[in-house]
Parts: sequence; C-alpha cells; structure tokens
Amino acid sequence: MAVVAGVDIGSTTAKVVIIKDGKPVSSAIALTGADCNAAAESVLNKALAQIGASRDELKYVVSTGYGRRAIDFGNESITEISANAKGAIYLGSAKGQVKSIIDVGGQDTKAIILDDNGRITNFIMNDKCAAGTGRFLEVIARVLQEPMDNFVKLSIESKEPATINSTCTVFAESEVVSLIAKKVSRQDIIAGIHKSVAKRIADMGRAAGIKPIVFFDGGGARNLALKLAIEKELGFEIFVPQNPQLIVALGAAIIAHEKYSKSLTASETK
Amino acid sequence: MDKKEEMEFVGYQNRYPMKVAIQVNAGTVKELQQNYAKLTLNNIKRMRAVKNRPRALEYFDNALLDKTARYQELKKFKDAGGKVIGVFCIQVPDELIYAAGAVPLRLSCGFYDTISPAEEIIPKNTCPLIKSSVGFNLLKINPLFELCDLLIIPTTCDGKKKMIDVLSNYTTVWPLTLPDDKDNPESRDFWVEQIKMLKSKLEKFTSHSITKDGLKNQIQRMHKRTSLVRKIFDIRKDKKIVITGRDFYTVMQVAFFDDIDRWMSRVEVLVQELINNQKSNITMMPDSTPRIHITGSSLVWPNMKLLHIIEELNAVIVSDDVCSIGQYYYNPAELDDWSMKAMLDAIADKYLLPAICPIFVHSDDRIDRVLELVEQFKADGVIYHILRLCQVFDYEFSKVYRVLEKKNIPILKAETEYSEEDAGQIKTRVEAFIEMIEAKK
Repeated sequence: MAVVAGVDIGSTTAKVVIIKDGKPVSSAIALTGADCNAAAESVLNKALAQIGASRDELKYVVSTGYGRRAIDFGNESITEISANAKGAIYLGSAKGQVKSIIDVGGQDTKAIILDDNGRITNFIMNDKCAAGTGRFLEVIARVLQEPMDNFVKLSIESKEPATINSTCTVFAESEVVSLIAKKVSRQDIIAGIHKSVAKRIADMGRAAGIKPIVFFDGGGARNLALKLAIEKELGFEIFVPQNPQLIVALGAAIIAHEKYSKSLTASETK
Repeated sequence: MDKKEEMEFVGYQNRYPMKVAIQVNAGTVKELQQNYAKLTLNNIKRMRAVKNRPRALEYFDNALLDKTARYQELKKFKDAGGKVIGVFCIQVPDELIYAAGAVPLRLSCGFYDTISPAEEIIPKNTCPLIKSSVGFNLLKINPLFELCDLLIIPTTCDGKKKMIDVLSNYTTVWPLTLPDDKDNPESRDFWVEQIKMLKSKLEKFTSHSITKDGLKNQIQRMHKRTSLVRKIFDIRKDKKIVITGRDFYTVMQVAFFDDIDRWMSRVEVLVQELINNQKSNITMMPDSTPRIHITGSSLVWPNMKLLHIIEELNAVIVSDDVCSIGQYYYNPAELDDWSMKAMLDAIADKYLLPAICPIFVHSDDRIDRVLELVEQFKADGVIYHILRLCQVFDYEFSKVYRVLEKKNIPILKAETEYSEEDAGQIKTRVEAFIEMIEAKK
C-alpha cells in the first residue's frame, strides 16, 4: 500500500491531497495563518485520518505553494505552476484537452499555457500588487460588509455593472465608497468589481497566449460571478473543475506518486 | 583659443545652477556605507558557497570589498597631474580617455539604499539605476567619486539625459550626444563628428594631446582587453561549467574602476585557471545544469538579486548581452589603416554599430545578438530582466518574446527592482521557469 501526499501552502489556505495506490482518496483545507508548518501538519493529519492512515504509512510528500520551503517535512518541493499544470492535465475537462489554466489564488493570479503534450510553454503571474487576485475581492466584500456567498449572488443579479477604474486595491476601495454615496445599487457595484478583476485576468491571459480549453482553478474559481465575468471578457466559456482549490495540491500529490513509484522500480532493479 | 574653440571647450553650461544637497546626516551616510559593505560581503559569501570556485577570483572579490587601495592609487595619479573622468553607459570611448592621459571610472550603481535619498533631487518615477547611482556618488558612498574631475554622460535614455543636467549642479558634466537611428547614414557622420569633438575637448581638458601613436597604443590595449573577455566567453560555451555567471559578473564589475593593466593581468590568470580546470574536470556545477541567457536592463554591483536567485536554484548563467556584463568589452574597434581619421572612424563605429542598447529606435540588432548567443552557448532559456521604470527595455520585450517563442526558445520576463521585497515572487517565477525548461529537455 502506497500512501503519498501533495501539500500546497498558499498565502490564505493550506491544502492537502492524499493519493493511495495511484488514486486520490482524501483531502483537507485549513487557513494558513502565521505558522505555515503547523498549518501543513494539521491539514496533513486531517487528510490522513480520513482514510485511517498513520504518518508512518506516508511514503512521499511533495510540497508546493508560496510556503513550500517553510515546512520541515516533505521529500521535495515544486512550484505551484508546475503542480497546477500536473493537476489540471490529470483531471482534464469535460469538453476536451486543457490548453491553458487560469489560477486565481489569495495572493497571486496566474495564467499558464500548455502544449499538446501538457507541457508548460509559458506562464505569467500578476505583479506584486493584489489587484486581480482573490484578496482584491475579499477586501471589497469586507468594505461592503457582505459575506462571500451573498457577494457573488448580488453580482450575478446586476443588469448594468458599474465602472471601476482603479486597479489598485486601496484606491478601488475609496472608489466603491464614492459609488455607494452616489446611490449606485450594491448589485451593480459588486458586479463592477468582478468585471474589473475579470478584465485584468483576461488581459493577463491574453498576454500569456491563452487559448481554449481554459481550466479555471484556485480559490477564486469557486466564485461563479468571477467565472461568468471572465468568460464575458474572454469571449468563450471556461471550465471549472470540482474542488478548484485542490488542483495544485492534487498535482503535487501526483508528482509524489510518480516519484515514489519510480524510486520503487529503481530499488527493485537494484 | 578663438571663440569657436572656447565654446567647444566649455560644452554644456548650466546657466541656472542650484546647489541642492541631499539632506542626510553623517550618521545616515555611515549607515549606508556599512550596508553597502555588508551587501558586498554577503554577495561574495554566496558566490563562494559554490564548490570549486576559481582561486583567481579572490583578487576581484577583494577589489570590491575594499576600494581604499584604488582610491590612494588614483589620488597619487591626480597629485601628479592626472585627470580622472567619471562615465556612465558604455558609449564613451575609453581609448580617447586613456590616450589623453586620463583614467575613466564607470559610476553606475545597484545599491537599493541610496535610492530614497536621491529622490530628493530626482523624480520618484525614475529607474532605480539612475536614482541609486546619483545617491551613491553624491553621498560619496562611492569613495572614488570625489576623485572625478569631469563626468561624461552619453545621451542614452531619458533618465540619463536629465541626469546630465541634475549632476551639472555639482560638477562639470559633458553630454555625449548619440543619434537615435543608427541605420540612418547621417547618424554615422553625426556620431563621428561627436567623437572628433570629444577628442579635441579631452585634449584641452587634460592639456595632453592625443597623438597618432598614443591612440594606436590605446586601441591595441583595448583589443587585448576584448580578446581576454572573449576567452572567458569561449570557456563558458563548453558544457563543463568552470565559472558561474555571477563570477563573470563580479569580474566585469571590478573593471568599472580598476587599473586596466592590473585587471587584464588578473583576468589572464583567471583564464589560465579556467582552462586548467576544464582540462582536469574541476567543475562548479554538473554538465546537465540548465543553461540560462540573460538579456535586458543593466545589472550593477551590488545588485545581484536575480543572479543569486537563478544560480542558487541550480541553473547557470552561461551568457548575457547586458551592457554592464557581457556586452561591456565585447566589441573591438575594427580597422587596418592606422591614420588618425581611420582610427577615429573605427572608434566611432565600435561604439555605435554593434550597440544593442534599447535607446535606439529598434530592437532588431539585440534580437540577432540574443539568438546568436543562445545558439552558441546552448542556452536552454532566456531570462529578460527589466528594471522597473526602465521603459526602453520594457518596450522591446514583446517583440523579443514573439521572435523567441516562434523559435521555441523559452523566455521569462523578470521585472524587478533593487529592493528585496519581491525576491519571493521572482524566485517562484524563475523556479517554475527552470522546471519548465527541465520538463522540455
């Protein structure tokens, strides 16, 4: 029995996917908080407990995400870009071969372009600023005092999204406040915010050379309003997998599985 | 001197000089000096962590760690009547400066801490290199700056052009005017005239005439320097890695201020050691190491953020076309007739024709150069460095990217600045790029 894990320590959440005998069997998510290592330990133990496995049974761990080197266990680390590609190719899409990935995380947004063999040919990440990331939407939701679910729902209801010009999170916040003062409806303000983020993401995707089928993942892909807004900006449909937050951890777990299987074959042939 | 000559001698004159000092106290200056020394030491420590680093590099490390000896040497030279001339960019002909009996010092800087003090006299939205260089020199964190009798600054990018005016509040500055379109036949004539003018201005400034023999000697001296640099280039083409990109960078950074003959003799020692190491398989990194070519904005000491990131992720920089590293001494003056006219023409051509600086209207020559180097050095990928607010390099990215993409050469845009704040993000990008290259192999 071979149990391996992929651990993705993102800026907001830590994610784990466990693969047993070549199949994903369990997963867990927790807030990263201030201590990457503790967060990684706790999600890993939670995911292992779900399948009744102990830490001793865990044969190989691949870490990824921005905190990939901050943890003191794990056999190797890989960037979230490679892990994401791996996970997306493994899952595929209902509509055909995945050619590009859009990943909207808490701190980063990425566009990844793949060739016909699923190898990465190009990728772009957002600048160090938070515009166009999940954080941007979170900040505005907080300003409007809307829980995320409602924030998404209101956005979809809008008939005429407001125009938000600021791309800077701080300035957008004050722009939103002034729209409220002008009595623009909450629906239109929130839809405007989604539109502005979607525009940035679509621009980034085009700069990277995005082409369908686009696989949309990361925590941001759970936001239906964002998906719809990106589709509108790109002019074509994009595919969201189940559990989009877990794709990077899944990719890391697949790499762990491949590496572990390889090491077994290598030791057998010795 | 008749009226016309007098005008030539004076050159640019600041008619509204303003004495604006950067407002920092002695304590801050001391702190900046200490930080600079710390960064320098840290850079060297990180490079020394690689096994089998050539012993001959110690000379270059030490030259960067302590410039006191060089200061005293130049001071003595000045006391004996010699002139020291500060230069920026790579278009000011060293040949003419040396032939006029003077010594050039390249003054660019890559130190983050001198950026914010310089913002007192330079607009905030200026590239870090210009701000850092101004702060570094005016605050005398660079001890050699006060030795400069004159600065010569080519009119390359907008920032450098305006820096001429800013620095002329503090010292004598000569602009060296470059044409924008080097393919225009009139540009060459114009540039040859600038070089001739520079020659006569230098002669007057130093009271030392540039003779035919003197200039010939200097051209030949620079030929020797070019051939030495090219020897290191050749060594780096081989799959056996006996010198890292960071080490080569260090060697070239010392050339900014070192005595040219001593520098050349030390490079000769280094070249010999590298050849021996290649013969006896004393390598610094495995043959399978991913090979990177760097293009883009200037990288100047002590700014090694990107270079450390690349090579500490177990890739190696095998080549570059950066003006502060591989491009610096690469091109020779080409001539076979040693008349004064032929020499001045050849010098002018050397600094214009092969120039791949993005201040010229198009980037095609740089694209040719990148493709040539990628092929010769078997680079697996290209990292395109853009200093934030270095617009000219930013402009050229999209064309370079598209050409390389068509040729199936992986390219990564690394837009960054001197501060360490984005080191994590840059590292993730570079690491993913290396993973991408390795998956492709």
